[in-house]
Amino acid sequence: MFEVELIDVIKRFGTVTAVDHVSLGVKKNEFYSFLGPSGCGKTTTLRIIAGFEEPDEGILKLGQIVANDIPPYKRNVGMVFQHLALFPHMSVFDNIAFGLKMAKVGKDEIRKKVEQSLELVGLPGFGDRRIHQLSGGQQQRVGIARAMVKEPGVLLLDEPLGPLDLKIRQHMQFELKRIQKQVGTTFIYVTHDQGEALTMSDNIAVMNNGRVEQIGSPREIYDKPETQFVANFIGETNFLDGSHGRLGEFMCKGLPHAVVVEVGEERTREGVLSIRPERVSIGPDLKGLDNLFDARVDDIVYQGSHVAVSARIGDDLTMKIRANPAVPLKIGEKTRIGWNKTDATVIRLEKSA
Amino acid sequence: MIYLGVFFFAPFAIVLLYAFGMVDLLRQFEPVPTLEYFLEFFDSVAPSVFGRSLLMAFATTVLCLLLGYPMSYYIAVKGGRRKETLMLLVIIPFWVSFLLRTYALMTILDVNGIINVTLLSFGLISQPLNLMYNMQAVLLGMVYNYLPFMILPLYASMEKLDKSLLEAAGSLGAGPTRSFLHVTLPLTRSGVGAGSILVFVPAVGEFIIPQLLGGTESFMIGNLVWTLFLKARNLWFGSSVSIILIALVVLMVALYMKYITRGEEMTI
Repeated sequence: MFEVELIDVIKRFGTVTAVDHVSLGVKKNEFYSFLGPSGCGKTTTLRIIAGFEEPDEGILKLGQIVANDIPPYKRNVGMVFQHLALFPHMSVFDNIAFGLKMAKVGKDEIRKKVEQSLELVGLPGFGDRRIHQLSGGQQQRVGIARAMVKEPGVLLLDEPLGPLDLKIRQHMQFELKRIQKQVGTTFIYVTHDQGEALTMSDNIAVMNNGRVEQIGSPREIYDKPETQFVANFIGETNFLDGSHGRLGEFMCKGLPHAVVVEVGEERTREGVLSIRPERVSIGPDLKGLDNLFDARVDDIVYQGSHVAVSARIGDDLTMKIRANPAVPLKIGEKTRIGWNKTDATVIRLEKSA
Repeated sequence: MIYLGVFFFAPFAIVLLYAFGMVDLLRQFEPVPTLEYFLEFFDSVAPSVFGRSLLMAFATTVLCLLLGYPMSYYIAVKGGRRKETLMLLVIIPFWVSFLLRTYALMTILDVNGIINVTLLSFGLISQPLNLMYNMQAVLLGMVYNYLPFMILPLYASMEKLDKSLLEAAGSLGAGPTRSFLHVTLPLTRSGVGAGSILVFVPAVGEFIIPQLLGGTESFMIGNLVWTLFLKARNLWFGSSVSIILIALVVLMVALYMKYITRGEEMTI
C-alpha cells in the first residue's frame, strides 16, 4: 500500500521527454528522496505529484485515488519550494496561516496551530516579522512551517536547502529529519546532493535523463549500485572493465589474475567491477584479503582525515584509494593493495553506453 | 535642471503671478497680490466643469483598469513566447500621433463613418446613429488613448510577480479565484497605482478629445482653460483655474498614493 505511487509516468515538454516511464511507490511516513543531476526530471516528477504538471501518460495515485486530474488545491499535499515562494506582502504569521484560512479554520484554532508550527521549526515569537526581515535559514523554516501547518498527508520538498550555506545546511538537514520523525509525515525530497540524500532518506530513487536508474535504501544504493551512473554519481569509485570467469571470479583487463567476487556477481558476461576508494586497503605487508595485488604508489594527496592515493597495478591500471594517513607510503615505492569480495560489486554494461 | 527651470518653473511662476493678479493689463508688475480671481472661480461655471472633468477622468481610469488588468494579466502570465509581440501591439499605436488617432476614431464614429455605414447597409438601422459629440464618445476616445498607459505599468508589475507564489497558494488550498484575490491582486497593487495615476492625471486636464469628439455637455477643464486663455484672453482667471486644477490633482494623487502603498514595504 503506497501513499504516493507513479505508474509508468511520462511527461514531455515539446520534443524533450522530462520524465520517461517513471514508476515508483512511496510508503506512508517514509523519507523518500529523488536524487539526480540537474535536468534529470526529479523536479518535474515532484511537480506532477503536487499537481502543477499533468502527466502525458501513466497514472499518479495519491492513496488509493487516481489523481492525474485533481487540481493542486484539492490535493492533500504540501510543498516547500526551492526559492521558498513566501508571500512577500504578508507577515510570517499570515504566511503560515494562509493554508488554514483557505480551509476556513476558526481564528483561535489558526492562532494556536501557527504558534505550534513556529515552535516546531524553532522560530517561536517570529509571527509578526516581515519575510524580508528574516535570514535565509529562517525563511526556509517559515516555508516548511507553512507547508506543514495543514498537516498534509505528503510533504514535497524541492531542494529546500539549496540556497543555504554549508553550516546552516547541515543543521537544517538534521532539523528536517527531526521534524519528519516528530510529525510522522511522508516526505518526498528532491536533491542533487548525494550526501544529503544518503544521510536523510529511508529510500532513494536515483534519476538520470528522466529515468529512474535505481531505487533502494542509501546502503543499497551506495554498496550495490546497479548502473555505472549510480556508482559514479553517488560517491567516488574505481571502475575495472572485465568479463565473467569461473564461479566466483571476474576477469578484469590489466590485472594479472582474476578477481574474487561474491558468487552470483560473476554471471555478468561483460561488465565493470566497481570498488569504492575507501574499501581498498593499501600497505606493503597487506595479507589475508580475498584479493591482493602488487602495486606502485603514483601520487599521494593529504586531505586531513585521509590521504588520497593513486596506485598503479601493472602498466596502466590506476586505482584511487582512500588510505589512513598513518600508513607509511612514499611516491614511487612498491606496495600491495587489496580488498574483500564483499567490498566490490559487478555492474552490467549499459547497452546504450 | 536648466530644462526644468526654463520649461517648468518659469512658466509656472508666470501663471502664479497672473493668478494672484500681480500682472496688470499693460503687463506691468503689480506688487499687491489679490484673491479676486480665485473667488471668481466659485461664481463661474468652473466648479461644475471641474466636477464633470473629475468624473470623466475617474470613469476613464476605472474603465482602463477593468480593460487593462485582464489584458496585462493575460500577456504577462499566459503570453509565453508571444509576450513581446503582444506588448508591441499595445505600444504600436503610440507611434501614431495622438491627434491622428483621435481623428481616426472620428471617421469610425461619424454620421457617415464606418459603423453607421455598415449598420445602414445591413438594414439594421434606418437612421444613422448619433455616436459623436456626446459624453460616451469622449469617454471612448479617452479610454482608447489612455489604455496603454494603464497596461504598461500593470504589465511590469505582473511580469515581476513570481509565478511560484501562485503555485504555493494552490498547494495551500487556494483555488484560482482566491489565489488571485490574496496573492496576485495585492502584489500588483503598485502597478494598479502607477497605471491609475498615469491615466487619471492627464485625463483630468484632457482637452483635445472633448474638443473633437464631445459636444457642449462634455466641456472639460482643459477646454475651459483653453477658452479662457486663447478665446476670452482672460489670463488672470485662466491662471487661477489652472492653479486650482494642479493643486487638486496633486492632492488627489498624494491621497491615492498613500492608500495604495498602505502597509506595503517596497520589497516588490
